[in-house]
Amino acid sequence: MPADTPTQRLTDDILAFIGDGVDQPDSEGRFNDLALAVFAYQCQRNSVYRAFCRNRGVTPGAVSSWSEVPAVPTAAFKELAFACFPIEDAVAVFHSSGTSGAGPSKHYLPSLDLYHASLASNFAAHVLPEGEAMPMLILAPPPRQVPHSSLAHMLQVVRGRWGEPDSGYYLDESGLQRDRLIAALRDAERGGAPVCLLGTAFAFVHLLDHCAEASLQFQLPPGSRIMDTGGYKGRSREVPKDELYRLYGSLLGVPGDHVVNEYGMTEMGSQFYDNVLRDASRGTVLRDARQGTQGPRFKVVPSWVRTVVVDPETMEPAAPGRVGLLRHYDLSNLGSAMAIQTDDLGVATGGGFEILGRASGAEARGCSIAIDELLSSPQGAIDEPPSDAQGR
Amino acid sequence: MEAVGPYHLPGLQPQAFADATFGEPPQEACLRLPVVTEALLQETATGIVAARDAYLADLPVDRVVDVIDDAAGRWLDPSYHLRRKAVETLPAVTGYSPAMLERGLPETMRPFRRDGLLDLLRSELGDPSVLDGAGRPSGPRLTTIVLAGNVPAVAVESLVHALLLKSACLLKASSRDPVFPALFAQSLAEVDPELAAAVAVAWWKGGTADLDRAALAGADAVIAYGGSDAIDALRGLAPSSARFVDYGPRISFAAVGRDALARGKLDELAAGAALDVSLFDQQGCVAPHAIYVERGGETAPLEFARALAGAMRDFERSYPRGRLTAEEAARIQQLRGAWQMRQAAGQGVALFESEGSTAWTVAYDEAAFELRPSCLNRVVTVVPVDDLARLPEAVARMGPLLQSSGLATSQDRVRSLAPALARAGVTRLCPIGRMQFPPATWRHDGRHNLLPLLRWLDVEG
Repeated sequence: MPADTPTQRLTDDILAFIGDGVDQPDSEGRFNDLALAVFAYQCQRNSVYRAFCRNRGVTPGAVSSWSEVPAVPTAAFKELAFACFPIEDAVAVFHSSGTSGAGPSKHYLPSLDLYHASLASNFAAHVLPEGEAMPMLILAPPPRQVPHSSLAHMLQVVRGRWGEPDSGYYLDESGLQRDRLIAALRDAERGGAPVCLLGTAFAFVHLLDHCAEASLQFQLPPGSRIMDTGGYKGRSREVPKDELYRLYGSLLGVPGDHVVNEYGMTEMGSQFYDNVLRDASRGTVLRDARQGTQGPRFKVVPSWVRTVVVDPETMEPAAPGRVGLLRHYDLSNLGSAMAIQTDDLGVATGGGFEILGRASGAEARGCSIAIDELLSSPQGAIDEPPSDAQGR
Repeated sequence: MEAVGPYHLPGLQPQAFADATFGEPPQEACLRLPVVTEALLQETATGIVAARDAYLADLPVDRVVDVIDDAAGRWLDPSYHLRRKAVETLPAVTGYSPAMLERGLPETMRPFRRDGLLDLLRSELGDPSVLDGAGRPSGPRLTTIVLAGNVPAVAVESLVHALLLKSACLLKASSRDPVFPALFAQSLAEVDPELAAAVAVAWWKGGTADLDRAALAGADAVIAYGGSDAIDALRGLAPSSARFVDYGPRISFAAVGRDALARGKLDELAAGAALDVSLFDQQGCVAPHAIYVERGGETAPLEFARALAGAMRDFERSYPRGRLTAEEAARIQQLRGAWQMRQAAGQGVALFESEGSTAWTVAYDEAAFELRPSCLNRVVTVVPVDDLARLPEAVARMGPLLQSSGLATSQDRVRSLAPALARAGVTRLCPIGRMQFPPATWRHDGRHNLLPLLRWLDVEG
C-alpha cells in the first residue's frame, strides 16, 4: 500500500469492519458510511469512473445510499485498466481465463490486505466454521502455473493459513494427478482425520468419473468437506448440481451439507460461499449423520458486501423472487470498483442469493449470427464470458 | 386447455397430440400439436407425393403462380383471419410484438404476388412455361424443407420455390416458430385444397435423428436452414441422391457514402436505416449489424448516429421490440456497459440508448472498424470511415458469412465498390431502407433458387 493517508485510513476502516465478522446484522449504517466514502474515493481517483458516473448524472455529493452508486459492468475490466491508482504500482493483477475477444478481464490490486482479510474471514466462516486446520487436497493448479488466477492465489492463501503439512496440489498442466490423489484419499480414509478437498467443479467431475469407471469408492472421515467452484467450460461433462452432490456422497462419502460451493470473480476481492456447512456446524438445523441436512442452499453475503438482483431490462432492483442480474457492492474492492454489475443470473433468497449461471447471450432466434455464436472467429466477441462463476 | 395446432397434415388424422411449450419464460405458449412419429412422416410423405402426382405435377405454372399470389395477397388484409391468428399466437412463441408482426407479415408476403413470382421465374428460367409441357425439366417430387429460427420469410420463400417447380413439400417447422408455416399452408388450402394437399407442415424437436431421417428419406431435394452443426447432421441423414441446399446464419451491414449525407435527406436516411435494423428485431440475416458512415459529408458520422438513434426511438414507439429473455437483455446491458465505460474513457464512443429498457441501442464507435456480430435485438454500431473504399477490408474477416450490404451512395460508387465487396463475400447490394425487403428474384446467399432443384434433359444431335 502506498504511503497515502486517505487510502490507508479507508483501508484501515474497512479492515476493521471486515474484522468484525461476516455477520453484522446491525451494520447497515456503518456499511453505508464506508460505501459512500469508497465511492467518493473512487470517483476522485479514477477519471474514467468519474466520467462514467457523471454521464449517468451521479456525483458523490448527491448520493446518500450505497444502492445509488453506479455499478461498473464486468465487461469494462476487459476494455480498460480499471483502477484508482497507477497500475505500475499494482502488487497483483488477476486475469480471467477467457482469452478471445477483447482479452481477459484484468483486476489490478494496489495491496492484498483487503483481499486477504475478506478471504480469511469469509472462508473460515463458511468452509472451516469449527476453526480447525486440516489437510487440504487442492484440485486446481498452483499459482506458479497460473500466476494471474485469483482462484489459484486464493487456494494458496487458504492452504498456507489452514492447511496441515500434508496438504498438496493434485492438478497440473497434464491434468488431474489421479494416482496421487487416489493414494491421498485412501490415506485420509485410513487416518481417520477429516480432510478438505478444494477445486474447480470440472476437476471434481474428472475425479468422480474416474471413481465410477474404476469402481472406486471412498468413505472420507466424518468432518471431511469439499469446496467446489466455477463451471465446466467444456473441460468435462456438465453435471447438474443435484447429481454432483449425490456423487460426492456416494463416491467420496461427503454429505451435501459438507459441500460448499464458492462463487467468485476476477473483478471482485470478496467471494461468496454456500450457507450449508456453517449452518450445520452451528446446529441451527437438524442434521442426520449420513444424509447431512436438507435445508435450503444459498450464497451468503458477508457483512462488507451487498448484493442486489436487478431486472436485466431496466437495471432496477428486480421484484422479489424474480430472476435477474447480480450486482455486488464490495468494500474490499477499494482499488478498483466497489459496485460491480455482473452478467450472472441469480435470484434473491431469504438469506442471500442463488446463482443460476452466466447470461450466455443465447443463440440468435432467427437466421442472423449473434455475437455468441462466433466466439471462434478471429475478431471474436467484445464480451465473451468475463471472469467469474464460470472459472476465473 | 389450449386449442390444437396449428399444423397442416392433409388427409391424415394424427393419432395422438401432446402439449409442447414454445418461447422463453416469462412469456411462453403451450401448443397442442400432433405427436410426430416415423410412421406418421412416412404416411405424410406418401400422401403428399400422391397428391402432387395426381394434381400439382401437371398444373400449369401460371396456375401455381395464381394460387400463391392469392394466398400471399390475403395476408395483406389486416382482418384476414389467419393473419389475426398469427398476430395473436406469434408474440408468445417468437417474442415479436403484435405491432411489429402487423408491420412485418405483409412485407413478408409482398414479394410473392403474381408480378414478383413471374419475375423470379423469368430471371432464372427465361420463359416460365418451360416448366409446363412434355419436354419440361424434372423438378423434385418431394422437397423436404427444414426451417430454423423465427423469421417468417424463409418459410414462405422456400415453400414457394418448391411449389413453383411442382414439388410436394414437407416442411419441418422450427421450435422458434412452429406456427407461421402451418398458417401459410392453410392459406394455400383455402385457395386450392388440391394443391395444398401436396404440402405438409409439422413440428418435432429438431435433432431427433430418427424423425429427421424419416422426413428426409423420400426427398429428392432438401432445403435446410440452421447452424453448421444442424446442417451437417441433416446432410448426413439425407439420401445421397437428394439435392441439398443449405442456408446457414449470415451477417449483413450497411454503409453511407458522404454523397448521401445531405442534411435535408438525413431524417429519411436514418428512418430507412432504423427500419433495416429493427424489423423482426434484427433476427433476419438481412438486418445490418453495423453501419459504416463516410467522413467528409454534410453530416458527420456522429450526427448520423444521433439521427439514427432518433429514428430507432420512433420505430420503437410504433413497432415495439419483442420481449427478451434475461440472457438476451443481459447481453445488451453488458455491451452497453462496455461502451459507456469507453465513452467515459474518451475512446471515441458515443452511446445512444433507450431509457429504462433495452429496446434499442446505437453505439457510435470509432474503433469498431472490423465488422463483428451484434448481439441483435436492435443493437447497431455506427462506425466512421474515411472512405467507403475501405469497406471490403472492414468486412473481409466475416468472409463466407457475409450476406447483404445496404448502401446509400450514388449508383456509380455502388458499381465501383461492387467487385471488391463481392470478392469479400457480400452477395447482395441494395439501398438502405430496402435491406429487409429482397425481391422474389433475390438469389438468396448468392445462389439461384430454382435452377439448383431442376434436372434437365440434353438431347444432342
